[in-house]
Amino acid sequence: MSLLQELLDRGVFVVTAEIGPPKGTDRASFEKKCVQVKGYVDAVNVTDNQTAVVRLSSFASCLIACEAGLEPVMQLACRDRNRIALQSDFLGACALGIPNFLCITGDHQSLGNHPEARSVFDVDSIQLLSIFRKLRDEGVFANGEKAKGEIRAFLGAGENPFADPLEFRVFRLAKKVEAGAQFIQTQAVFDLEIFSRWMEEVRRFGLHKRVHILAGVIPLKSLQALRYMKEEVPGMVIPRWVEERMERAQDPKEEGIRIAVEIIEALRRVEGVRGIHIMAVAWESVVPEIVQRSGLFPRPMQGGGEGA
Amino acid sequence: MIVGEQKPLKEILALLAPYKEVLVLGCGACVTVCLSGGEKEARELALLLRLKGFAAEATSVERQCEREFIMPLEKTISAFSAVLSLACGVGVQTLSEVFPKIPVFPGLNTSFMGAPLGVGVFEERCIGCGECVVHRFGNICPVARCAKNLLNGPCGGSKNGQCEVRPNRDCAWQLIYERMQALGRLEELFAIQPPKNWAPSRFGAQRKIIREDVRP
Amino acid sequence: MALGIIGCERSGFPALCALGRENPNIWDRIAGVIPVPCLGGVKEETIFEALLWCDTLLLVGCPPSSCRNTWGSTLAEKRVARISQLLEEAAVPKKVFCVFAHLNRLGELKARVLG
Repeated sequence: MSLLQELLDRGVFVVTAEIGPPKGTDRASFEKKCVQVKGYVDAVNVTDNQTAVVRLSSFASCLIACEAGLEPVMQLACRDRNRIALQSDFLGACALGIPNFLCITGDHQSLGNHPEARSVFDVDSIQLLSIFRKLRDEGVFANGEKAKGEIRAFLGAGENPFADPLEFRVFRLAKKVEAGAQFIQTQAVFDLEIFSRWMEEVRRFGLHKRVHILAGVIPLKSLQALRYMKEEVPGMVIPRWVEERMERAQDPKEEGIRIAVEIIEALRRVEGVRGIHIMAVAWESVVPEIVQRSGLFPRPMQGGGEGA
Repeated sequence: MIVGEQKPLKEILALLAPYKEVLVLGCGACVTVCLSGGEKEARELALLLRLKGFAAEATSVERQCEREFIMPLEKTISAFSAVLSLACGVGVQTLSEVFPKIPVFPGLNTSFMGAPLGVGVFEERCIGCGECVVHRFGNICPVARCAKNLLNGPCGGSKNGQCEVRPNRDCAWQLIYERMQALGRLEELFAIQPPKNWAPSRFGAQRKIIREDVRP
Repeated sequence: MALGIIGCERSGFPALCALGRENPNIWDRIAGVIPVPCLGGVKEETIFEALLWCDTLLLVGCPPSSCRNTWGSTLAEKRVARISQLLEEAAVPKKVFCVFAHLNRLGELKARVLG
């Protein structure tokens, strides 16, 4: 049973964090990241070769996270596997007790470290959601054949409220919900104005009542990190005020944390936002401080409140 | 049409290095239109090869993909030790099927099926997936024009109407969105497109069509 | 080194004749001259053919601003650039240049021919 689902259903304002598997078999470094965030988050997202860079598999890393006492959200990208492999990995993960899944299309391989690779993209994230939902709820594979055994899975998807065409984003979210998404983790929010407008649309269509929306947050480590994200990461919108504050900061790390905490405070006031998803890429150690300073600690499992 | 571009000269020279008498054979169809493998290009390349010391000549046929157009070359070709074909990959193969004894080399890289958009600009439009769905997307094909061939796009990388994968490349889904909106058919995009049947595509077996109705 | 010249009849060819009157010995270095109505009409093929009998080829024509066909010299420049690149890629030790000249502007032509 998914703890994440249980907390969301109970109305708890949840905290999830992203942890990236290592570029190799260095299990210890991944375990260290797990220890760093343990107790401060309700679940951890384990990325699936994010930005199309080869890493330890999401599946194996999820099992390591389980052993470390964390609840994983297994990310599954459509870039590297067809509907046969995706269904097979989904069954395997369910059988081994991985409770949460995030269905994503995946970053294009030409942006990663194997740009000559042939991509799959047999199905897209929305089609994958509907395949998993049917497998779980109706017990049938994508081809209609019966599958054996019970499946429990909490299904989620990503969404980027900042990509174009902005007006179509909410309709695409509706398609994800229709296809089976129970929770959504968004791209990192810096531009609260665009995000709020998107949430307004989400509420106008009543989607916030049908899906749990977790807003993405990225703590900035330095001005260089900001510039890199602004220029290199697709679909990332960083408003001028954030850049100005990072430019002026004496202690950029502290300023980055402060901005993240302020954004979380603002996000908690947005109707329909049910939690936050912290993506502290290569800076997982900062997660506890952000959670504490945002007043989101202790977490329910640590005897904390249900704080909505 | 099929769009191709000439292989780098160094590669062509390396392919032809063991030979002296070389026939550069142009094709009068698609690759003439895309300015890469027609009679003009064949003659230029033959002259350049002569400057490199080859005994090169040039000629061209109507379409290299059809045996009937190639067969009359039998006499001409016997005077050469190798042929550099400036046709697409189809032409290169037909040519060596008709003349199995003479070494045939591709002078072009066959790039895609596309359209000329302006002088010297060609863009991919179709991947020949074998089951056309273009009408569902305002006749802008996401299978050929979206980097991730998303049927439920756009992905999160669409910005200012551009694709994240290549700079200055239109996001197919931005175009689809605008076209469907202009047509007043936006709500059709709200339907979840089911997984595509790729069996009739190149991911199935080699494709072959037999028209019994027209066969003798 | 054999020098070949393709000269436009409006300015390039007259300029070459004027240079020849000044320095009659230039004719010893020139392997052939092809007069053309305008450099814009000189195809790549013609340039390659000329390179079969000379080592350095000069396309001599009007400065782009005074080309009677507006784009003639500009087109010639583009073709020469492309062919130069092909020659370099193929490691063919021959050169092609575009030279702009008329009766009152012989400097560049003189440098190329005598240089």
